[in-house]
Amino acid sequence: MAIDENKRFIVLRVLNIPGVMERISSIFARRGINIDTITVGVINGKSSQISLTFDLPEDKFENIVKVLEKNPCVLEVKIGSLESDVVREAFVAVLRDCDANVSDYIRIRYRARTTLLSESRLLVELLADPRMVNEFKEEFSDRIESFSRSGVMIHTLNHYRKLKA
Amino acid sequence: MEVFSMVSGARLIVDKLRENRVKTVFGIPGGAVLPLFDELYKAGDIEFILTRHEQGATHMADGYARATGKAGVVIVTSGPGATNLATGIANAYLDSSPVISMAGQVPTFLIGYDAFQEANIFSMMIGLTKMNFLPRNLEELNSALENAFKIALSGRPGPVHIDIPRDVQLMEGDPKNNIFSYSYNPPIPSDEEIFLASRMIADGERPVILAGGGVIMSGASSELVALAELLNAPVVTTLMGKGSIPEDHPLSLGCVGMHGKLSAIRAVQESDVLIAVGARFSDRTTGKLSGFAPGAKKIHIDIDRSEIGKLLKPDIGIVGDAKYVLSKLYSNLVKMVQKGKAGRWGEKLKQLKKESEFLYDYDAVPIKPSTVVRVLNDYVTPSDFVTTEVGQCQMYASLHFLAKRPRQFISSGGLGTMGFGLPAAIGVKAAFREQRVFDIAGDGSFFMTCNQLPVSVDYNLPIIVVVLNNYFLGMVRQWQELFYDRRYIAVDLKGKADIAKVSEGFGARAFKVSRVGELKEALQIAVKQNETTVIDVIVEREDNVFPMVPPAATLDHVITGR
Repeated sequence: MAIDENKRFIVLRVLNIPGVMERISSIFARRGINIDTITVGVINGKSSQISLTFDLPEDKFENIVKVLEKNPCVLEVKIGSLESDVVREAFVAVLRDCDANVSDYIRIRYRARTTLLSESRLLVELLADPRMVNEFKEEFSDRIESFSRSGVMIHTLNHYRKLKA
Repeated sequence: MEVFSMVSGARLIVDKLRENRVKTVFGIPGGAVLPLFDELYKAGDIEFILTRHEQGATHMADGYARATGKAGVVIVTSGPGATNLATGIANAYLDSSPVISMAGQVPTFLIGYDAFQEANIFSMMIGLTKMNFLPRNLEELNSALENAFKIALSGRPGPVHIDIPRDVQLMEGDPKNNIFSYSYNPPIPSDEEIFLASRMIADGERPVILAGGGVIMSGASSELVALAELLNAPVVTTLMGKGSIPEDHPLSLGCVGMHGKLSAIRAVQESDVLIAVGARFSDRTTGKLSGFAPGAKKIHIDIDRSEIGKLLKPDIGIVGDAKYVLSKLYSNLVKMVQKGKAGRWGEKLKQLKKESEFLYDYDAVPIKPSTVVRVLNDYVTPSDFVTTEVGQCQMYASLHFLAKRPRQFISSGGLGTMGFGLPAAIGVKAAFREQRVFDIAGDGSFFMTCNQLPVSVDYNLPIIVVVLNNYFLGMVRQWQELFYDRRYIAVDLKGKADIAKVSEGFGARAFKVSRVGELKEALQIAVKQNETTVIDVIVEREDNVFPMVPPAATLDHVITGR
């Protein structure tokens, strides 16, 4: 699978107070950086975790990380990568013209959960590396009736920087 | 038995202002903030200065903050009261000034329903502040207040805004918990980093120190001067760093940049080691960055990690407090170099200084704006303050006013806000009642905030405004002359409005002068009398500020005259 060198994966631990998402996203907006995916989960009453993916060249990435680090809402910044961390996206699709064979194939090939909704309509639930999600979308592009994707969640294992206490 | 002490949100705010030793607040009341004003009335020990527009209130708080190093506080109402804060808060943000603004807001149950005087101030303030809050209950209000002062004043200072819904001001309770507690750990650079920088400095022959506003905020002026003297290194400053070294010191070369002193520009361009402290390499300071100090190894010291490498990639970047790093550099270098011998500038410095002195025609009529500022130097004592407006007047002040100490010179650097100087001067005066405060203004800037003159008069906060009046938006006219072939458009202010009469109408004493002798007489009276004074100086209309580095050119392309 090809790796885009400018693709960035960041995990922020932030204060769980109103307006934090806007404060974070405005840092990107004013620099004209498009956030590809953003997911949020509550860690505890006081903090939440935000996973962000976006495209940015290396020379500009360093500054964005520092700007995020100094924001009073941000408690911690971790930098993730497809190679050394767990990067996952949930993907749900309804496919047409499918039979039990296709369903079996998807279950085995993509480790997805499948449910036949009718004779030929198949519900597919997938949790996978976003590259695999893209592969699935491409392979079944002519059969996908509708789909939703969650955006990327990143769980860093070792490759991270911790700059704030 | 648990003891409950019930307080209202409004009372909580007043208590926190007291806790943080806030004696003076600037602003304007309105419907959504009346419960808080009523509490201020009951408190009686916090002076409220009623301004004539909220923008002016922010500049006053900003001036107060810059002169003292403490937080300046603004309180206004919701909607237009709060939107009028925008310019002043943005100004404080770009110059790292600890202003705390509070605005009333419609009650929580009306937020989002387009109630009377409701605006989305929360979103507006996100891009203009270091942090902002919209507390919806007493706990959140308590937390916002607890953290606002810490955030505004710690590390690289900056403004914090709190939107306070009317019902939250009226809520009663015993808010003990904090939603969060902001903690700031100052970055401590390693000894090794500082040693490497020391080695690089010791190896240089033509070191130059570029001092920015960070030196002033950190209180590092004596460390700066000590290091400069040890190295025999000239010090150039940014506009924000003006005064970090006394400008009559033999090693001070003045401001560098688009309208920098020739000596400062030449020294930077000829340097082989550049030590930038608390400066952020703004385009107005560096010119085209690729040609800035082209032969120099660069060391960048800043407390804000995100400034290192943001624009200029230094050879060594040190994240730390200016005072700490400069004193560490000194203790390393004192063992490495012979005092005063490291920088081999020799006679070159004197030559550079000589080259940058122009001939001044003191007797020209109308008077030259540069002459006005040079005359003013004789009337400003080291304990006095000088604020400026923005444009040509600001650059004449930067070039010709000699700042003797940190915080003496107060100007809008980053945002370049015309109309900053007059209210900022009132804010400075509110903090230092015994000192004189001068505002060096242009006529364009004067008319932007002259409506604040009555504040100076009403509250007995006398300031001296010296207007360099050329009936033009002078700096724009200068650009149109130099870069648009004199195609003047929208720069002529005609001169039909009489600044002296307007000022008198506002209750100030006023003079209209056009000769050096008259100017001196007016200044003589102004400094003796303790009253708000405006001196309208009719200056040469089409005088240009030189030196000038054309926009997007390197410092080497400096123009020295027509």
